[in-house]
Amino acid sequence: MKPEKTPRALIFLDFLALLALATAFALVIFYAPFELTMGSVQKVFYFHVAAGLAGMLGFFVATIAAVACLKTGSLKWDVAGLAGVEIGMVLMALCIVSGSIWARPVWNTWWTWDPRLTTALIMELIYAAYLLLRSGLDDARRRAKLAAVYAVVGFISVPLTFFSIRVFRTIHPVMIGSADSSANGLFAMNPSMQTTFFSSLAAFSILFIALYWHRYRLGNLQAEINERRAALQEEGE
Amino acid sequence: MMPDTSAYMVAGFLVIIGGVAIYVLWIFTRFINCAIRLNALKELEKEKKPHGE
Repeated sequence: MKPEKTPRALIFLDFLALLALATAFALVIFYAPFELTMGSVQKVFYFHVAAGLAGMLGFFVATIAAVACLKTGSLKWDVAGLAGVEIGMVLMALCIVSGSIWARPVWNTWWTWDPRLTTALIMELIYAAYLLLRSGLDDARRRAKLAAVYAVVGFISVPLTFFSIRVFRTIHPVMIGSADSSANGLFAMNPSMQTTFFSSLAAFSILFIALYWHRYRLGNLQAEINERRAALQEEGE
Repeated sequence: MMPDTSAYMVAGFLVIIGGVAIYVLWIFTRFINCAIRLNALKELEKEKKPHGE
């Protein structure tokens, strides 16, 4: 017996996300040109950046939900915030690991304490602490309030990470906006690269919405279980 | 000559696509577990109600 039927729009979104990802992947492999100095590994960039931006979108959504939670006090917003943080963390982790794989042949190292890499790691750790904070609190209302305050404060790390390559001296390439000529692994995007890049970005945005909807439904289900369990325990006492 | 970095490219895509696939599976597994737990709780509620009446 299923608790609630999956909405048709969500099933459609799942298929759309799969189709968009497959299309973007095909464009990356068959349409986007090879970058001469980096070789094939440069193609990872399309999904690496898209995953990173979608991850940041997750943190942004979590912040909006946190503000709404503090304003209304509704636990629905707490569920919405947790969904954003969890998906943001997953996508950001994939961005960091794939970036490390790209860096090995291009920078000749898996990791360097470059401002972008460091701020991205700090951001990931800040949101890991958000999950730890939640797991340490039993009272749902108190947990929602504290997590919301933490999410709002923790969001400072997101723009700091995004703008770190523009503000600090860094070897990380700048893909959106003006590029620093000292960046090691820099490449200018030609029209076919831009088409592939924006397709990947669109695919990860659709994937984010689909994942977010699923995670939000799961959160509501978990909340319902907790409520029913608490009610049963009260009856038993 | 263009360097051969294809192994790194494969590794990069495996991480991203594999990671997303694992996360999707994780959400699905948790959803199924929650559905089972919810049904068990509903059964318990049904069992408890006649005693209360």
